[in-house]
Amino acid sequence: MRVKQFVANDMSEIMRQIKDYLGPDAVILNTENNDGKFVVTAALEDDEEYDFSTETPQVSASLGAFNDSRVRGCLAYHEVSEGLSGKILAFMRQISREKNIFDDKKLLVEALKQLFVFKDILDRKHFCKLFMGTPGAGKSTAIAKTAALARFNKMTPLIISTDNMRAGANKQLQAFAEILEVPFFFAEGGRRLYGLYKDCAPQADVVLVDTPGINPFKNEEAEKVCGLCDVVKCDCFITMDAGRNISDAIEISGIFKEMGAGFLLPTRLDLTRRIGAVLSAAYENRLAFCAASVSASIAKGLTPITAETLAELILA
Amino acid sequence: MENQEELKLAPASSRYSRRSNSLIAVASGKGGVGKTWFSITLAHALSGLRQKTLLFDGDLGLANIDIQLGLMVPHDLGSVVSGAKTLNQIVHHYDKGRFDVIAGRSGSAGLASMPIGRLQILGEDLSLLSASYHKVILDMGAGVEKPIRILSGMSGKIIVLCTDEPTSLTDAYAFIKIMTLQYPKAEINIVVNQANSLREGQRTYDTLLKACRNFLKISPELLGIIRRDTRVRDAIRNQTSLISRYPTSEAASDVIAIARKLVENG
Repeated sequence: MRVKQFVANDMSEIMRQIKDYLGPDAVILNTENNDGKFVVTAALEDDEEYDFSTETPQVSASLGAFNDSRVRGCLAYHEVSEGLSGKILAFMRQISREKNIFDDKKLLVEALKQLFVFKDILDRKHFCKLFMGTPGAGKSTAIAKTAALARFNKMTPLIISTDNMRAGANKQLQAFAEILEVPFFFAEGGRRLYGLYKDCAPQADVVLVDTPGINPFKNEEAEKVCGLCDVVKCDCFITMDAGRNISDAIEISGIFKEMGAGFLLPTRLDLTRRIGAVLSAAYENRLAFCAASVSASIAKGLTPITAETLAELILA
Repeated sequence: MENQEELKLAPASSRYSRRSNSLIAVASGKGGVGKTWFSITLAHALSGLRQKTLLFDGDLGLANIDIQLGLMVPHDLGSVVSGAKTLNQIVHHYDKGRFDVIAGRSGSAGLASMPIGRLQILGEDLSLLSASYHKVILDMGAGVEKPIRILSGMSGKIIVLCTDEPTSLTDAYAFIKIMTLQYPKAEINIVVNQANSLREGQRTYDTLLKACRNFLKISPELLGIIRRDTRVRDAIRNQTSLISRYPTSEAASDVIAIARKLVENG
């Protein structure tokens, strides 16, 4: 930008000077009147073009510790957010120096352990597990799979549905419960949920609560589920389609986090080829991983998520 | 079809606000407008507001934060680049100001001409370290060279410091222009330094804003105005922070007001 100050006794003279010196495209930035004299600052933009293409960082910046370009490329393929990708690589370099590890996968596992929390879905700290998510995210399937996993681990599960919004929602979950021989109840509202929880929960090792699939961007729908989270002490899981757009995944899971969620349970992994959205959503919103519902098949159960399994997925 | 829905996207939710990037780059384009002094004073002000703060000397090759503070650091950025130390191992605590410092190295041609890939790695390591702090201030060097742009581009906020001198305004504009072209999502704020008065500082900002609006179609916000204060030079000469030496000075108050705004805005 070219800037020049013009001084004259009248504005018409100044405008003439500006036009002569800078041309008709000049813009006046500032005008002052100092003891009768006009002082005008005018500017004209340059036509300079900039080429930043040579400034794209080269992926091959390796410090010899591990194959930075390979890992960086894998993270880019999975569309992991730039910030998270940078942190993963930074942790890998740090751990490599501190522990003298040079294997890509081992370093990635260690880095993921630093950045994420991995828990057992049937952790007994809170034996009530509440599932939330958008419509069609796979909550019912995830609950059925969790019930099946509980049975497999010789635990007594119990299912309570609070879904009074979707036609036929309870029938599907009830059908799953019957097949698994798991008691099923319907609670319309928080008060009923609390009553059922108090009455029936002592007979169960784990209580699985289904909530209506909601649009988290609509406050009135979000408030329905918010209220349920406050009724009983529970672990709250977000079931989320793994194939979402990364920014939407971060924002949607962020809203559910504000509503009380502490875990991310990705679904439909068999229909996505990239897990960047899942990783970024969990990282940005400090959500723990426990398990994933890979396919719609109840028989195949939940798949535990660990740092090792994530590292394998990323590097595959 | 009746009751057909309008084609529109979900509205923004008041329940969600994204985690902010704690890196704040302080740049100017022109040298000598007070970036290092401002970075030091801002770090001190933030620590006074109970923000765990790290001050990073991003003037690669011409570092002077340690000089302005009279620090004798055992290790600096040169040790990191050579691989002898990791970034977290060269953090030095400045007791007087209660903030941490990563010192650069003066006169190192190697640092100043670091390859982009290596710079990217430095930025990633700094981003990782920043998770342990509320705020990380990057004191950038003068100019618009690649290292400055790359490190500034990684920051959640870029503060462009300027004075009322035409050369400072022109260089500040040039910096904003290039950053906006290369990093369209960069959040750029303006701080006017060495203003004769708040009114004159506002005029300086309005001049720069007008140029940005007309030519770049952006409106960087004014973060604050720092009044000219003779005690600033005295503090620098005595190698100490202004807030330590003259805590009630006008310039100190102005920087503290800027720090408060940064804390309030997250």
